[in-house]
Formats: sequence, structure tokens, C-alpha cells
Amino acid sequence: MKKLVELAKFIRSTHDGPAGITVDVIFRDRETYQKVKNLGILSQEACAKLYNLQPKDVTVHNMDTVSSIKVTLKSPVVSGDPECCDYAMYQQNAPLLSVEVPL
Amino acid sequence: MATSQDYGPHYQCTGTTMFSPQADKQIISQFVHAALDMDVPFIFSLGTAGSDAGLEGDLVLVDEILKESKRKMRVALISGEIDKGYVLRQLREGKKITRLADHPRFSENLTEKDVQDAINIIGQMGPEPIMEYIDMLDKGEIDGIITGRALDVGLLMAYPLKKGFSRDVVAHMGKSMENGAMATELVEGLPPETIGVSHELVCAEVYKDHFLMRPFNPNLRCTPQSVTLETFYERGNPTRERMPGGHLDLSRAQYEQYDERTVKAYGGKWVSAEYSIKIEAGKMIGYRTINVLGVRDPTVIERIQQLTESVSKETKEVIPQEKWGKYTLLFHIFGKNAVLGPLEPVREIKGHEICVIVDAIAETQQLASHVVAAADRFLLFKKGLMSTGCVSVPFGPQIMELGSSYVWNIWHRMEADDPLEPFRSVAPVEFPRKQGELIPFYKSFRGVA
Repeated sequence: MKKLVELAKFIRSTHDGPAGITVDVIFRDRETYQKVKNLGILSQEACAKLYNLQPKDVTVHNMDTVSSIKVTLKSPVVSGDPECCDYAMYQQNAPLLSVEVPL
Repeated sequence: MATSQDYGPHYQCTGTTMFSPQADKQIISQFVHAALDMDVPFIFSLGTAGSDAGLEGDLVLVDEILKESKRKMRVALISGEIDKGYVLRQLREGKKITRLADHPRFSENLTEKDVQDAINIIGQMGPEPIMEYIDMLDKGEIDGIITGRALDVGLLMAYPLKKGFSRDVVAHMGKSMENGAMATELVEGLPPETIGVSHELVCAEVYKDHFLMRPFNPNLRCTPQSVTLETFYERGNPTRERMPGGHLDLSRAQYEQYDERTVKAYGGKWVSAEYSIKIEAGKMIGYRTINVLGVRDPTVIERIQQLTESVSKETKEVIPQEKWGKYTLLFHIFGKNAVLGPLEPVREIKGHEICVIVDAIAETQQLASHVVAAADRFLLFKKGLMSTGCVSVPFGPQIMELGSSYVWNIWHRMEADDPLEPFRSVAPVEFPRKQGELIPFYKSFRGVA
């Protein structure tokens, strides 16, 4: 088992409008990317569970040409609202870092 | 230089700068002097959020920079702020103004109340209002163009588009360039500690059917991966970029390493649609006061949720809203779930110290501070725990008054038959302006009599 943080080149998150979050997982090599993709480790359902969301609020784009997976989330909290402590959504990547990948 | 809405509605609603005026002045000064020294025409987008007040704040700095160096320049000014009356007229004429942010906090279809509640409305202009002034630039009647809120990609597209280059290539170039060095990586072998590479610029050469792109800084390079990664940054959909007048389809985009630090890109496709612009606004929700506290005692940390809940109850009993007025009391518990909120998968607190921010928003600043002070007292001297004081106090003053507080209330798409109509502009304006001279937009507003 290895954690995604050890396998990815970077895992970055940012806002997609004031009520959206987009997290990009960019892999170092195609092989690991294919493995994570084929095992469904970052599937819509898996990511929804990880972020306490409904699957309909999660979209996953697999990008073969750059060995990257984009996870887009509907944010329950609007950026800039009193409850929001991450206006630009730069720290919303954290839950993905410790996702385990069997190797 | 570009405008940004990344850090909440405060800057748009107050017309203030995200950075200090000194920081803005230093950055603007470098660009202004470089443009004048080399006699290169420029297109700047200024004013943090890009409202008229924000733009004016930065234009005062431009005045200062030029006065201090005894230089002059003439510019075209394009406002990014849209007259509220103009938006109301669009609604009354039956134009559809639909929600772009998929959240129930925003009206699905914009209402007159949304417009009235908004402090000010700004629109993300496309390249068209800027293209209007390229002829004046070419004739030497102005030295540059300064806009308020604008689409980053549009700022880069305006010049080559006016010169007749294909929208496919130009939109693809703009999208790849919009975040500068974000599209680059360190030259192989350099460590992450390398300094001077965080806010660098990139340059593009546009051709008939492709463009070349490279960073100026020799410690950086563009690679097919670094440019591709930039094109889907900040976007929910990696290959479809919506813009005024259509969208850019990057599903067939190609990137080749042209030389060691340069990428050749092609294959972007522009797909036209009816013209619309994104409009953005915030509304005021009250006045805000906060108090920052620390906790290191593990017996307090493990009960922090229950403790703050009881403090919240106690505060609301002592300061009843029926008598004092409406307020919201929040506790942001850093170390538990402040940053991720409801998305946080970790349930237990694992760290050995945490930070609690007590936060109140009320109809008056006095009430917000009253609420925070009461909550602070209740939390500080909770009984039945190990130590006398439950929290550490890191600052004096403890009560920090943040002033008026805002939330986004408009994030919508407004149809525009004429891309120029919503945006006021004026040219030429001589800088430095006379003492007390402000943006003269209202005199030449094209859309409304």
C-alpha cells in the first residue's frame, strides 16, 4: 500500500466559481495513473464518500494524455461566506493525499 | 496585471485592494516604467476586484508614480462596473440572467431584489471592449489601455484578435497564458528553494495556426505537460472553457516541445454561441467582530465541540436576540474542521494544539463585539476543567472589529446583444490627472441615456 501523496507529482485544489471545488491529481507516471483509474480508486462514488458528498455532487474526469485525474466537487459552503475558512479553496485537496493505493 | 475574485466579496464591495497600496504601487510602477521606457503599448486590468472604486484606488497610484518620475502618458479607461440601472432594465425587458454558481444561495434567475441588495455589480468583459481602442494605440493617440474587471483570457486575446489572427489560436493562447508562470516548471535539476520564480511572466508568439510559448526567466521552462496542466487549472471541465460569445474546446489540443524551454501548441477550437457576460456582486450582511484564541490543554481539546456549543447557548441566553437584535455566532476550530467544514473526513482531533476563532456578525458593530466579548468570557472561565483559563490569549486587543461584512449574491450570466454596451469607457485620459480628478465614466456611458 502506498498513499496518493507518495505517488502523485502534485495534488492541487482550487475554486471553480464560488460554490465549486476542483482537485487535480497529476501522476508521475502513466502506469500508476492507469492503475488508480482502472481500480476505481478515485471514482465518483469513492470521492463522494471521502468528502461526505452525494455522488451527484461529484464529477471525475480521467485525462489519459497527461496522466491526471480531475475531481470536481459541489461545495456545500459558498466561498466568502462566514462559515467558509478557505476562500480560494486551495486546501481542499487534503482528503485525497492519504488515499491508499495497492501496489 | 489582472483582477481577481479569488478571495471573497470584500474587495469588490469596499473597493479596496487585496494587497497594501504600497505593494500595488511597486508592481504597477514596474510595468508602467517598462512600457514607457521601451515605448511598448500596454493593456492592464487594475483594481483588485475591478470595481470603479477599486480601479480609482489604483489609478491614484498611477498618478503618483508618474508625478514622482515627472512622466506623462495617455490611456483609454474601460470600466468593469455595470450600472445597476442597466441590469434592472435588462430584467424588465425580459432578458434571462441565469445562475452560474450551482448553489441554492444564488437565485436561479436573477431578481430585482438581488440587484437592489448588491453593493455594486461588475462584469467580466471579453476582448471586444478592449479591441475598440487598439486603433488608437496603433495611431499613437494613447500609450495603453487600462480596464477594471476583465476576463484574463480576453486581455490577452484583444490585440492579436484585432490584428486578424484566428480566434481558435488566440483563445487557446490566452487560456494557456492567463496565469503566467503557472504554465511553467523549474528547469530540471533546480531545487524548489530557487528564488525569483513564483510570479514570473511568459511570452507567446502567435502564428496563423499555432502559437509558441516560453517563460522569460531562464530557470523556468514550458513543457507539453506544464502547459496542459495550466489549461485545466481552476476549471471544472478540463477541455471546455466558457467565455463571452462562446467556448474554447481543447479536446483536440496538441502540445510539442519546440526547443528546451518553448512549447508549440495548436488544435484549440473556438465554438461560437450567443454573447453573454458573467456578472458578479456581493451584498452586506452586517458587521463582524472576531477573537483569536489558542488551546493546548488536551482535556479542553477533546471537549472543544461541546464546550463551544454550551458557550453559544449561554451567550444567546444572556444576549437575547429579541431584545438586542439579530446576530450570528460562530466558532471556527482550526485543528478540527475549520478549513474543510462539512467536507472534513477526519473526525477526531489529532494535533496537540488548536486555534479557536470566535466570530460574530450582527446588525451593528457594537452588538457583534458585545457577543464576542461575552462568548470569550464564558469560554475562558469554564468550570470543571484542569486549569483556570480554558484558552490562551495571543493578541491585544482581543476584540478585533473587522467592520462591514459581505457575501456573494450575484454570480450570473447576462446576455448582451452588443458586447460593448454594458461597459463604459473614455479616451484619451492624460495621466497624471489633475488633483481630485476621478474616473469620468458616467459622462460617456454608452448603454443608458
